[in-house]
Amino acid sequence: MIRHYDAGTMIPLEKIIVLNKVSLFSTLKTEDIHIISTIASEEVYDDGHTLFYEGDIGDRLFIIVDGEVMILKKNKDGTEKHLAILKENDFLGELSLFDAETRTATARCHGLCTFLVIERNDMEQLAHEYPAIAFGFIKMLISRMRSMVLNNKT
Amino acid sequence: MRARILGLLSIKPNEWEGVLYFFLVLLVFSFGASFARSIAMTLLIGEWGGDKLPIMYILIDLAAIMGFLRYAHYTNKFNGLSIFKFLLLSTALFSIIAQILFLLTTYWWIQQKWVYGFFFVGFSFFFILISIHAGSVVASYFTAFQVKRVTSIVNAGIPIGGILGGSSLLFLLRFFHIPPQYLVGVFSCACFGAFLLLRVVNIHLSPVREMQSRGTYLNPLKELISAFKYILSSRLMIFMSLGLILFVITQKMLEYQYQTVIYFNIYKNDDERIAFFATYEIFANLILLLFQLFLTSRIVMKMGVGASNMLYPILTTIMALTLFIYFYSKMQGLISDSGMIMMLSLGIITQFVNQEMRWALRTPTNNLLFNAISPNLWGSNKAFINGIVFPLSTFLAGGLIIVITGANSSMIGLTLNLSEEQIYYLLPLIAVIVSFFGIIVALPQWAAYNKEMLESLNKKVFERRLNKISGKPSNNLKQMIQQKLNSTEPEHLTVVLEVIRVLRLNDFVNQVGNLLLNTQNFQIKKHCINTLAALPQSQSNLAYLVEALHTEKEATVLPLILKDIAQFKSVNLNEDIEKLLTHPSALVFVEASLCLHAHPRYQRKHLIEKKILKCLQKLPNKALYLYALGELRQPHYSNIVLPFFKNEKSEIRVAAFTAFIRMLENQLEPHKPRLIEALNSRDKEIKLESLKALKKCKPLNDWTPIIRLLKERDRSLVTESKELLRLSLNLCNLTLIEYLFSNKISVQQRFEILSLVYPKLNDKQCQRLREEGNNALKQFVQMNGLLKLHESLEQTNKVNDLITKILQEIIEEHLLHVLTIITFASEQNLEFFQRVSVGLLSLNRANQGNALEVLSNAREKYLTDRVIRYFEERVNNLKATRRIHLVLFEEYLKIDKKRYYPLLFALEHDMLRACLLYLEQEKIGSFKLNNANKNVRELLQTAKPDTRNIKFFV
Repeated sequence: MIRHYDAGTMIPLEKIIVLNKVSLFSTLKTEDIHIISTIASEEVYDDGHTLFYEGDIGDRLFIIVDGEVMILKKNKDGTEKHLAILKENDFLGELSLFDAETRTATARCHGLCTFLVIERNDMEQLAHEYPAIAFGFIKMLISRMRSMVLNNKT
Repeated sequence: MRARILGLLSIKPNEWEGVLYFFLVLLVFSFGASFARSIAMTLLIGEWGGDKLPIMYILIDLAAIMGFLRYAHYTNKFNGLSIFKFLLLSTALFSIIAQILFLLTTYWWIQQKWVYGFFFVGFSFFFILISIHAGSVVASYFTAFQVKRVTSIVNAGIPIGGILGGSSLLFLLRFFHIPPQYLVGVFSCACFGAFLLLRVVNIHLSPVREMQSRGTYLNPLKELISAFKYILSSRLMIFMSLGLILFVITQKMLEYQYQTVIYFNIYKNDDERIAFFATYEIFANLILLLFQLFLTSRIVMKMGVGASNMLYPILTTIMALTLFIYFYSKMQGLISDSGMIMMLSLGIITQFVNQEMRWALRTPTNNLLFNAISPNLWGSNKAFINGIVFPLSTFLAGGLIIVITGANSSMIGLTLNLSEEQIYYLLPLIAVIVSFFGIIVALPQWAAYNKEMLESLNKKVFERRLNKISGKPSNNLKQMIQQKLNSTEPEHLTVVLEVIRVLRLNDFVNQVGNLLLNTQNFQIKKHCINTLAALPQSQSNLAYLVEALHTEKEATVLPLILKDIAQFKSVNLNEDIEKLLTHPSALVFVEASLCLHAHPRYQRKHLIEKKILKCLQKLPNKALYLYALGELRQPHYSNIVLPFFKNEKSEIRVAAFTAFIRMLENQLEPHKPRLIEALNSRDKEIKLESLKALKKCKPLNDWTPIIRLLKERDRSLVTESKELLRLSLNLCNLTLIEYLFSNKISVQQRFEILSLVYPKLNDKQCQRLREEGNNALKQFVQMNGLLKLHESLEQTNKVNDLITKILQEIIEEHLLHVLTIITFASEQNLEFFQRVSVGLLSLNRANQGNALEVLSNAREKYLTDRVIRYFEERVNNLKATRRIHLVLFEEYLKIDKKRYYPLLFALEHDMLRACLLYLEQEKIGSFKLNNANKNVRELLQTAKPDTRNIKFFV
């Protein structure tokens, strides 16, 4: 459990510790992670809160600091089908940082959840100021997509 | 004992297993092959007659060509080890079939003599394929650097296996009187044994450089055509092919000389000759074995692959020259060698150089050249070299000998009618010339090897070889552009417009103009306007721009058109443009104003200035009007923009500063302090503008702010700073050198400073730089020890991973310092530094090996050897780090559990310090921030309530 100051706020070092554990940022240098930590805000949600619905326009990346998130998809009859549970250090919506596409599934908190959230506008600003970070991030995204394609093939 | 053997053979402990297995594979195979070779030759000549030998050789060559065609294909389909196993099993099966056929021939098919030819050709075919392929497989299990050292030791399995096999065969024949045709099965067993050993290899070892499937398969002929195309595009392969042709010709010439001229004249009797050969074989093979085990790898390690490839042609040139001098002098009567002792000695030495040195030097060093070629291409390139170039060279050499000696000249109908004495010195003379060319070819081959080795690093980034496109479009390019300009796909149009813009292809002005007038897509319009602006000014592109100005309704497109039209000073469109001053879009107003203000014949410029000033005061879009004011280039407005320098919005600050610079373009000297102050700005654009402006001023008194910018991550800032320093290099030289040896210099700063001042360093400073490099290496090793200790503690706290990463980054920084110094001391460039750094820091062993191989060719030796030594040890625990530290620096590494925290605290790293304080806080419950600096405090304290970025949703 991450130590909370002032009613659940994380100190900058704690944000860096969390971001460093997330595979999306793990290849970045600590200096870059530090910079990203400055645009990552802490958000806490109660059990049952829906982070986003399938079909919403996505513009935020959620990194799970604590708690679990259910990923759900609508069936043809309108009922929700449970797809997966995401846990600590998992993340949701990485593509929304660079592209305003619609969400492909619904994400709902399962118990009290703490997140680090990065907004697309902030990320774009950061990428403009620090192209090296954007480059490292894109490399990581490509590598993830490549492994996803390979997994699908096999 | 084992360590002593390893030391004697120059093998590292981590290579021992691989060397042993492959040595055994080759030994076992060679053991069986020596049985098969002797039996095949004996039975063929004894049962079918020696006159069938030439046709057998032709059949072997044909079979090899066909075999290599298939081989090239399968090397792209299966991995190297699988092919090796398949070849061994096929050979074992072939031997079993041959054994059955021999038994049938002995008892029932007595007349079927072709069976002996079948075995001879089949064995030779498999032997050639396996010998060539085994080299590739062995190489794929070691890095490019390791293979230099281990290849000769592994290959020693071949002569040892041969000696053991030959002795065993002799023993079985002499003492048990077993007919040779019963012993073919031994070869089959040996192949099967080697196959089983390869299975062990498969379990215990994994390849470093995988010969893997490419995914796309061509037919065998296309594989060879593709290999041929690759050879044509690779300088290294061209020189390797040329070198092979020259080698074969020299080798055949010298062989003819000592076999037919020297030995035949000395030993007239067949029995005497056989006895001489037997004695020679024993001693020559023994020397060869010792040479292979103890000298080959040392020579290659010392000289490098490129240089050691020159040794063989040098030796053959010397021998050929000696033979020429001997025979020419003898013919002239200058020397008398009645006992023929001198001739015999020359024959023996020449044969040793020609035959034994080929295996001890030429083959291993030549195989090492394949290091610079991607393992995926080894198969097809080796197939091309051995299946096409080698037979062609043999044919050339044979033809040349026939023409010179006149032997079998009726076959080709050409003879030179030379006397015997003339032939005796002419053959070595030709060998001198050809082998001298061999030396010449080895020189560019050396350079090509180093270059392609460097390119093999980080191949993924650099592998595309783009064709250079000249300014004039080729027909293909022209057709492609025509075709794409008619496309309805916006992406295609954008790309093709970029091509026209970059290459300034004026032929397409009409199509681009028409596209501008007809398209509705903003991006395409934008690209069309940019393209027209880049093309040479002409009535055509002006006509399209003017028409677009009249017809265009889009407020986003009009400013672009106006900007372009402003470039055409000789055309007066002021009346039309004036109408746009009332356009609702601020951007259109600004561009129209600037266009009019810049026109030489426009009269109401002062009105324009007033309007812009009014807009700046009253309207919200400050950045735009500041830009407009700056573009007017009127120095008296400079005070108006000053208050905007401290605006909270970055875009306004940047616009104000840029405007300031534009206004005072030629009068910046008095404002130098302001420009220097701007170098500390938060905005990159301001720093850049300031640097550009400083270039127009007199040299600075203090260069520190500029030198500080050399460590910026933004490349444009670094380039501009460097340019400024370069302009006054004579004045800032000393400051730069002082900075170079300071403790707090970053790798990038050091690299950039060295790129400016390295040629100006004196010997003492160069020596000091090397010492700095050695210190960095020492810290690199020490930090590695600390990291190993940190990892061994297996802590489970939250900051553990972050500390690991920080330590890794510090380690990386030290190594990069060393590599920076090596790069400059070796007179190498940024590409060398980047590729070697990426290779050494890679987790992939093949990349690391390639980087070490490139590094081993660097001119600077002191630091290079030490870096190589460290990486060669493959240090993976604290004990090993202590050992290598002691070896390299003759000092005991004082890193242990007790010193862990003090050592971490001693590192001046803010984030690391914050991690340690965080750990401490977890134990004692509060942060001890007394001695922490501002950065550490910021990492450990929450943001102030008014600025903190924390929301709470429940």
